[in-house]
Amino acid sequence: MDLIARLPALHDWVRAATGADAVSLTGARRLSGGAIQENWAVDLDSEGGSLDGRHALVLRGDAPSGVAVSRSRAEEFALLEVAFAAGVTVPEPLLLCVDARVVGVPFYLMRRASGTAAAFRMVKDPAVAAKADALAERLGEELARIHAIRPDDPAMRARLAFLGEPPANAALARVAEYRAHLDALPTAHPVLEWGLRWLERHAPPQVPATLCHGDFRTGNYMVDDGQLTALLDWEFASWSDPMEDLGYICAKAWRFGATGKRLGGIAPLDPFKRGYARVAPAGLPWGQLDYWEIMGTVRWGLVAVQQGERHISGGQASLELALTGRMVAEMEQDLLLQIARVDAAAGGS
Amino acid sequence: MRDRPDAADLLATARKAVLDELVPLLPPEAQYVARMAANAMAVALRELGTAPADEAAERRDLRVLFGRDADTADVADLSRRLAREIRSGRHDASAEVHAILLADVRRRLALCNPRAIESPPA
Repeated sequence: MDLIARLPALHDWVRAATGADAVSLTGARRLSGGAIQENWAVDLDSEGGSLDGRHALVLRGDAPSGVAVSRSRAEEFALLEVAFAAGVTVPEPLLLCVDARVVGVPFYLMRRASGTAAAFRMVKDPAVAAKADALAERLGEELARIHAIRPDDPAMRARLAFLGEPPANAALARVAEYRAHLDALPTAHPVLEWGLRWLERHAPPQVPATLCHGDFRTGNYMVDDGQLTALLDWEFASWSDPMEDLGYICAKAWRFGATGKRLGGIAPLDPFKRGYARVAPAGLPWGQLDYWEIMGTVRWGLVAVQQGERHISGGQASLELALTGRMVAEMEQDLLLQIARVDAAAGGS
Repeated sequence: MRDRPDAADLLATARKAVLDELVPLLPPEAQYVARMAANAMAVALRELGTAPADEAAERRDLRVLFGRDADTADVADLSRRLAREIRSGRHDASAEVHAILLADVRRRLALCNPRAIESPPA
């Protein structure tokens, strides 16, 4: 998408959609991150209409070669609206345009959060370290607010109908889903199979499904001077077991080398639990965390293989995707060693 | 007889040129790309010439499970067979298979990220 060339069309669309007398769009520049989506910063100055005044915005649209693996922009916009209304710290979603003729792809506009999501820098940032417990508490509160959105609420179920039926047992549903993904690959992956078989044999009992972010990890939230400013990347949201989100952020591969800080390389678990329990006093079955970390590790290993495949045969040649494909052995080592530790602690398997 | 320097020398020299001469001149986003390129060269360099020894080690490990098939069958087919058997539950909690898988993972880590290799649990 060449947004600069499309600015006149975007200008006319925004003026019509907001009913403004006049608008100006300035400072358009592409933001980094997002292999499937493109994000652009753009500043809006509007006279009259529903967005009167000056606004720092992000335009998020499909990349032209978008792969059909994640939610559409319209679905992501609906998820952001639901999360924003529930008090989750997300960029406020403002305008959705499903007409691909305006800028070339469907897109939406949301408020631009300050700060950065860059994970390797975040886990080493002294400003983050100084406020790590508060940040972890805040992440706990945020996740509990997301998990309070439930499919047994008929209005929510209708609003998020595109999420489909909640699974009977989210863990076993994931095992089946990931096996189907493995079956679609040209090579076998016995170590990921080992992880999935263990996850099948040790699946926790069924719990009521909640909304789950689905990609809840360091790197997908923004922080400014140690303070959370936005939870991003909602394209993998689903009805699932709430422990799945916690297992993902805690998986060793998502601690970015700060292995001793279980919560995403940022902080220990305790402040996160405090924050979560402040919003949802029942908490979560924390004893299942090893299980869900292993689930998260298997998922990231599978995604790494898929990204490598997109480079090899998916028509998206890319150095980053190619190297990600070679990362799978790291996740495989993590899952083999963690399963061995859990089995040893349980006195066998 | 091929001309010298050989592939390993060329890759190592190109990698050093990227890191020592190009990276300092580049803006930060481009430095990131250049470091990824240097990393890809390092993996390729470690991989040069190691395929026969790695395949022999893989076949030696799989002989424990598959007997003489492990010497002759295609390694991709052996891998598919092991994957199928694991999924069916045939190797549940097998310390032997866990050790075979871990050895395989370590051989692959030795190519793509040797520093990530962890010592086995006691």
